Amino acid sequence: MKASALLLFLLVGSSLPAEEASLARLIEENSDRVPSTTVVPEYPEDALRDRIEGEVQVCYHVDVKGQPYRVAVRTSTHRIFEKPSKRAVKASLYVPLEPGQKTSGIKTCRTFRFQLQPLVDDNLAARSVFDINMTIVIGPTPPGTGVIAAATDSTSS
Amino acid sequence: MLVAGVVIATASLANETPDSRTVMGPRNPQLADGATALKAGKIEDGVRLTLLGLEKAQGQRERTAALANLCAGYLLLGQLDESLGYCDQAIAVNDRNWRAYNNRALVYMELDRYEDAEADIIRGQELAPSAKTLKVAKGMLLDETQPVSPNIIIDDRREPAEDEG
Repeated sequence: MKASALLLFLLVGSSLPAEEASLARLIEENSDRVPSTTVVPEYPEDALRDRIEGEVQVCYHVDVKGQPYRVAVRTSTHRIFEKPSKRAVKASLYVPLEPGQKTSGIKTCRTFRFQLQPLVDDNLAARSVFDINMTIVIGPTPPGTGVIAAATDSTSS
Repeated sequence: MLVAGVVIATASLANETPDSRTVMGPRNPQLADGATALKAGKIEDGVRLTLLGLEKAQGQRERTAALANLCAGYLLLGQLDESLGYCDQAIAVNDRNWRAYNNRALVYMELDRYEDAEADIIRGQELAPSAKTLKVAKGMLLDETQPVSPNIIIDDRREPAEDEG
């Protein structure tokens, strides 16, 4: 009995890394859903003040109507960025599925990189740093299909 | 923007005494009212009352609070020389008063004396590492000396990040 329990434990134990690896691959593979509205998170004020940069990966499902759900942070370098990232994902939309189409069930993941770039130009430096918010979207969104919108407080869940 | 960084010793600080159990009301009402007025944005009233409070200040604590508050008040009025003088006095009376260092750092910033401002912020943070006002002051200094632009990259790529060229 003890031997079989031990064997079972060993089997389960040895199978875990493979399962984790396969799960990780699934997560890394983004879904084939096409974004229709991509909401940009706000750069948190305290992070801007304290010159904190970071990265958050948020994973979620997308329902047939194109609405993200079960939004969760997968990795994060700093907690300060997690809330705005989740809020931005929840406010984002994907192109709804056609009637009869089914969701793949694969999670979609989006990575937000919060970066601070030094302003070297004197004219730029004279402007308020809070007015400038550049956003680059890298990914499968074909040019012109994804609509970038800034996150606002009204999008909070 | 300055208002966010200025720190004013509150009325409760002005009222603090070692034997507060026997004190029924503010020991230095002008100082307390001056702090309240400054916090409410009534700067001229706040300065006037604090000057009266300074005349009746008892002990190092009250005197330092009054001087640091006058530094803040004159700074908000744009009278930088007056402001700097009171901050210097506050620090001369008590060189462990982080509020005075915070306020003097803001005066230095207004005077474009950024190295002096940085030194005061560092000293203030040594004395009060968790003071939010000092963090705000430091942020203001960084905005002046090392301005940055926030940039958010949204990465929807399917490949793992390691593949990044």
